[in-house]
Amino acid sequence: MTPHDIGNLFLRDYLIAMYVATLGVVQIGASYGGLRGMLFLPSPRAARWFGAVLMVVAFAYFFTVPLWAAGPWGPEATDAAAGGVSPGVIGRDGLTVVWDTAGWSGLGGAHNLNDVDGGLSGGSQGIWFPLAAGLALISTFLISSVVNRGLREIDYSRNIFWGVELLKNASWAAAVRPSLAAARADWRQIVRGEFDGDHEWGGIRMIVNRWRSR
Amino acid sequence: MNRFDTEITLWLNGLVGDWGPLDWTVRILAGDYLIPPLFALVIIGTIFAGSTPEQRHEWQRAAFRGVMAIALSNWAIFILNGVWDRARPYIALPDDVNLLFYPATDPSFPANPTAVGFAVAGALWRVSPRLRYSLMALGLIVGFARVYVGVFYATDVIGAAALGFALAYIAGWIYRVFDPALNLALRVARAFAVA
Repeated sequence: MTPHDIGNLFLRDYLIAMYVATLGVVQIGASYGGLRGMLFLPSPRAARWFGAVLMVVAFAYFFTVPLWAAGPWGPEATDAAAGGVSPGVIGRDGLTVVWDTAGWSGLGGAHNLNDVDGGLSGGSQGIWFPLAAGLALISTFLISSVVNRGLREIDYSRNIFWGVELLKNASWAAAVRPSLAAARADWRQIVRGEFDGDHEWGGIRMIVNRWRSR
Repeated sequence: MNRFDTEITLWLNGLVGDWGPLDWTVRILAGDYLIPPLFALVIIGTIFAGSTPEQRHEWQRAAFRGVMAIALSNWAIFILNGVWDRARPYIALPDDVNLLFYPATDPSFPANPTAVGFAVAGALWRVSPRLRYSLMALGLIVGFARVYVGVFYATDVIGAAALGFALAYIAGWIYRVFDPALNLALRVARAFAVA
């Protein structure tokens, strides 16, 4: 097993965990925001708890995988060699270990793997986390649109260009068309509004306004 | 390295082996995959948690600053690592430190996850005091957990906390310089009813 193989194993579990954890944190955030159209359960309080459970399950999955899946978290190769087990790989805690499952006692450090030995570096987490989170957000909008297909109350009397504000009384599938239509109708006014007014730090605003005044 | 720093580090690391369940828990807390991802998850939750359009708008701007602060932290850590190659405790004090973690090869200062945690806490400062203090606590927990397992000094953690706050402040400046381009990005997301 090379660090590349170990990296792939790690990555799979990491992506699953971050995907589920993001589903959970979005449920918690949306329940605090009162965005019924984004929730998987009818009650905001229940959705909040469900979100918390999803997060716990996500991290519990990630940290308990070594109990049933073999990886670089087995017993130290030197110990195992006496029992005639296979030669080791550089694994948990930088030790030479046997490719095997971990016991409960070894679970604490099972995922402490240097990035040069197949763990995920900060940079690769910076790439893979947004991917998992993005997929979870897309899933949330799709799943909640199915679950809340009956929610279709769009209040046209208010300024509806408020994005997820519409999801307080409508599902995402019901809200996206009116929201896009409002944005299409008002985009010039919105852009102008953003550039109006003065801001001593607004670098882009300053450049655009100087160009405009010519 | 001063004596005070060494003493705190050796005292904390000296607890290794005293009580198995503590070692077990601290190794998970010190890891790369529990507390650091929580910082990013909190930012995502903040995007949707505002209860009024105005509050949500402010919190979404704060979330943007949080993402910027994380990026700035990683960049600043990269620069600082090139300037000061402080040896890790398990390298500088090989006979005294019990290493309970993988032998990290980059310099000890600053404590990366603590810097990121405090940068996010600073960026989300106005969102909620409870959230702010929770993030700061998590930043300190992961930092001191790594002192316990022998890969940071206490001053790496304290310095990283100050660095994180400073970077959050700088992220606020940068946000204002790019204003209103980032606001317009939010507007586009809002057009698709996803922000």
